[in-house]
Amino acid sequence: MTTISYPTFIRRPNEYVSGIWGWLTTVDHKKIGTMYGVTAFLWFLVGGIEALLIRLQLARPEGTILSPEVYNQVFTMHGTTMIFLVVMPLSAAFFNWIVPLQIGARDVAFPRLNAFSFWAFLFGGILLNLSWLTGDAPNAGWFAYAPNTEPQFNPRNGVTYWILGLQILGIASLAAGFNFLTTIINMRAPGMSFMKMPVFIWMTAVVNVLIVLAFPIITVALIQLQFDRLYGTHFFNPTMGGDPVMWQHMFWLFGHPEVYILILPAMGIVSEVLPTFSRKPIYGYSFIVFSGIAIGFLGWFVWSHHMFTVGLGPAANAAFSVSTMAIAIPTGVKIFNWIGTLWGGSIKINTALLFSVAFIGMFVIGGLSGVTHASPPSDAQQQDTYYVVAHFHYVLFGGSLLGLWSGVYYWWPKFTGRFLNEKIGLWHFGIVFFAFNLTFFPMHWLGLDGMPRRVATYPEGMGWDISNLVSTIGSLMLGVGVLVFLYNVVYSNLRMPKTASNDPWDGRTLEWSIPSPPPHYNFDVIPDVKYRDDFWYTKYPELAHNTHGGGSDLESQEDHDGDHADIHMPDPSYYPLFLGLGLAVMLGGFIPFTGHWVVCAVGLIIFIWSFLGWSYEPVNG
Amino acid sequence: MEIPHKFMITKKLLKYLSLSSLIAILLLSCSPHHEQSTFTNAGPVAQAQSELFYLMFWIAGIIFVLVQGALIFALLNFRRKEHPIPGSDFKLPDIPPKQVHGNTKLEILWTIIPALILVAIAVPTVQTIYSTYEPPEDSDPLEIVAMGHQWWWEFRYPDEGIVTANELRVPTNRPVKVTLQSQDVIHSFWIPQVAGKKDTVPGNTNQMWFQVDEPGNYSGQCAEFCGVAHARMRFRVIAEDEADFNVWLNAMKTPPKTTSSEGYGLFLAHCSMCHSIDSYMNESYEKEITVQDDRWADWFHNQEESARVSAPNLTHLGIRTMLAAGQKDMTRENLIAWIKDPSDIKQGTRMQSVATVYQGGAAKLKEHEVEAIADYLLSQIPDGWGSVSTSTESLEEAEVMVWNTPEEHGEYLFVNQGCSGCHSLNEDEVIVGPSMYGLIDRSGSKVEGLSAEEYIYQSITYPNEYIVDGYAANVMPQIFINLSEEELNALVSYLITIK
Repeated sequence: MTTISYPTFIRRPNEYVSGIWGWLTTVDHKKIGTMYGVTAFLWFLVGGIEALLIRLQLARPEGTILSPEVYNQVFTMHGTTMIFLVVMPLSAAFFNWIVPLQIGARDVAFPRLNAFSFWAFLFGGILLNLSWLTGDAPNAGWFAYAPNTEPQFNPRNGVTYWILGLQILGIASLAAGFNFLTTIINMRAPGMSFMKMPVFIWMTAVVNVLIVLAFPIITVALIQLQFDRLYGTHFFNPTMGGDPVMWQHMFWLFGHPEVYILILPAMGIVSEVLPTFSRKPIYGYSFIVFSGIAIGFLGWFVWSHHMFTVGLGPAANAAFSVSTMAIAIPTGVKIFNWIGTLWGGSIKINTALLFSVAFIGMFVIGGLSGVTHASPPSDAQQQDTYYVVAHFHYVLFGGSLLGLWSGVYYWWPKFTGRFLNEKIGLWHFGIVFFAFNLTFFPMHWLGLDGMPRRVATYPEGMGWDISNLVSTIGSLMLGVGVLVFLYNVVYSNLRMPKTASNDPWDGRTLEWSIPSPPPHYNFDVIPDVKYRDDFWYTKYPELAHNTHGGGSDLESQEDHDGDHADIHMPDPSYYPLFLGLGLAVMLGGFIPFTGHWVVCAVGLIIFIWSFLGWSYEPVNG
Repeated sequence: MEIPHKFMITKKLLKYLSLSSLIAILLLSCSPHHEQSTFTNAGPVAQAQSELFYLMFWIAGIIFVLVQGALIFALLNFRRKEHPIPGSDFKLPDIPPKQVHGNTKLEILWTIIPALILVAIAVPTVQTIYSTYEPPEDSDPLEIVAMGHQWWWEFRYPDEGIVTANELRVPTNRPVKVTLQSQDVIHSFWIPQVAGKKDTVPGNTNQMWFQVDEPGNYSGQCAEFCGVAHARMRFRVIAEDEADFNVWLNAMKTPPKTTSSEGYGLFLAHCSMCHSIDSYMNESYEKEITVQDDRWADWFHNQEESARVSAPNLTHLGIRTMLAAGQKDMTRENLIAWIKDPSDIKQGTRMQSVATVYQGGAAKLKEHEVEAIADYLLSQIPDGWGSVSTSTESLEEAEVMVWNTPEEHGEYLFVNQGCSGCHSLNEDEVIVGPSMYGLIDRSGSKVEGLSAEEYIYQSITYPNEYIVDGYAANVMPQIFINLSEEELNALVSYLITIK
């Protein structure tokens, strides 16, 4: 046998790295999940400040707080930040924390790749926001419609920052997408067939299929745009034979599945919270699961409903109108089944449950207003007005964010061993819920009253003044609500004792069978799964007789060796951090500032070095 | 007690929700001055779009009440009745709820019912898509072209040969068929009370139609984000009955009362590279379209150096009601403010960044020069136009001037036709175009077979045919061909004297 000598770059640390290096080198899904959550929350504060600037500018007609150019930068970055740096990574925080725990695994399939996803996300977000320091933040909207992004109309570097930042974030998302899909397909505990997976795992699977299929489309479109801007091609330049409508098709062919990437994780969370606090199984498990799959599938056939006014012709508009309406069916099924879950239950009303219930209520409003612009003639009056702004904030704030907050309160004891304070939590919920409606409900009638969106200001005497002022007051209260949440996190970490048991909520799924917070290796013994909601039926075997999806092989329980010294866990690694850094520096080096090729070369060197180091890194440190 | 407290929060929220929707409805229905409200329908297209919205609104309203009602009922009715277990932190209900996993029949039912409701929406939707796509077949629509520009609107009437900007005149009770185009980025043409929006896409031609039932002013606005001044890209639709509309059509082909004044020269020198003002003339329509394309191409391909860009046609500006794409009322005061410092009214406007007269900020013109330009523009009113305009009365009739020699006449024209704005009389000084110093010495040798006088004459009337090396084409206005033979000769005889 030949001995192969591996080049050593940096010694792989063993598993006992502590302090800051413990975080920088970690490949533990729980620590990575925490880093995703904390980072995304910091970006949420940034995006929130941008939102408040927008609202302050629009509080009165002819506002002068921001110049039109800065206003355009702020609304572009608000949208981009909230979508790519907040809601997606917050979802990723939950995927990281919960997926291995719910499927009975000790980590994700590719732990180093998982760490790389986080670092790429962090550095991508930083690159995007570095544009503020140059005074040239992206200014063409998160949708970046050509030809307004072409160099003739947008000669400065903002949009280039946007392209390259998104490119890095896309790579992070793709890596995570493949990772979670592999994890869900291959690493479920024995006995956990697909139809015994928790609904959150199902929704995670659908989301990651969407990520893996949708992000390549935006990647290609971004490369084309980058070439248009930097290297003189004309993909989207109509003066030279390019087609700006092609950008819209590519953007929304990515962008609409992206909408479901943003909402389905929250739907998964709600589908965990409601059964637990109702003490009932999810109502119509297979209907919920298949409607989630149907939403993910139909999501590919509706992108042109973002383009009803582009002039695709009546036949295309009619077809996309009908396909869009079809999505309301599986969405409705989910809502009815959630109510069915609550119905006849034993409902414990607390912050987590209230956020989930509010999610349903707000999502219904967003869904119903969505139907009104699924109809192209009606949409012709609504497209690009504040009515649409109201609609998607009801879906993305009232939906995604409330759902994610529900998950935070629900799983916080599992994450930390401490509860978030319930009293402060109820204040948090109450303020956010009230302020959210105060901010966004008036936008419905602003839009129907003819106020276009993305306007840096509006004239007096249009009848829009009061509604805008109310909305601004609401947004400031929303800011207070976020601060209350922040206070709750700090207060609970400092003042609340570590009292959370393994199973504080009388939960149903496997994560509640292990300590809070879980040990490094999660499960002493990989569980044998017999049922959907396996842990619940372990606790209440007498309830198991009428279970759907129940297993019959109750006798096959094996004795596992409880000695954790044998548990093999991956060791930490420096390379994910450096690979992410190298990627961001390299791509950042394409932005045409003075000496940018030097930066690009440095990034390339870091990238290649960490790529090789990663490849040759031994399994154990 | 904890639970009633939480319950009260829910109740309060409920109260708020119903209150806020009530306020919403009141706000919408009570205020009369909502000039862009999609609920005030001024024509059949907006009407059809509205009806579809109302249909969905009521269906959605019923679903909203049922779903939220069921949700809140479940939340309040099935609350956990907790009993503390002595000696434990746990509180457990006496009996665990029935473990219901679902009900296939019920679930199929609530899949099918929404599907049927959606069919009820989809059918009228598809019908309305087609019925609002083309004007009625038996109608005789007025055809217009609406072009989005950064950040103003150009309106062309191809059959009438009229070009105007930012103010669209249409007859009532007659369909208007709009061809939508853009030279630069994507805009969206929207008159909320009259019809939903449609985008103007560069490289694509779209179409839509609308009809206005009652005479009046209707507010329009660009609805697609189009860059820095997107919020300032508005327009006005003026609907008039057929007779009044025809008066306007004729007037737009009638020369203005005044054609010459101090302001005219200044306008020619500083404004006419980008703004046409004489599109009342025959065959000016095709010319304007060509010139506009030239101006655009000039800017697009050489933004650093181009001194012109496509700009609103100012023919008969005096009868327009608003300026700067719907930003201000057309008054002398506002017009003067606009000319002085356009960015103060519309930040980002190309007028300021491109025109030579604005290099470095506000207009490099004296107060009285700005006023003269404003007065000249406001005097652009078709002869015989009935409406009252405050500015025209202050204008005096042009003096009858007598010149002793053609050279003297030429000198007057050189200043008052705006030549001196771009052409210096000093040796080697370039303002925009070549200096006129020593013209006689070099003109004779420029083109074989043309004498100096003939060459100068030709380059005034057809400037693009005789571009001097190092200067761009399409910069000099091609409007001097309209000068009379006598005036042109006077100008030439003056020019050859400059040494």
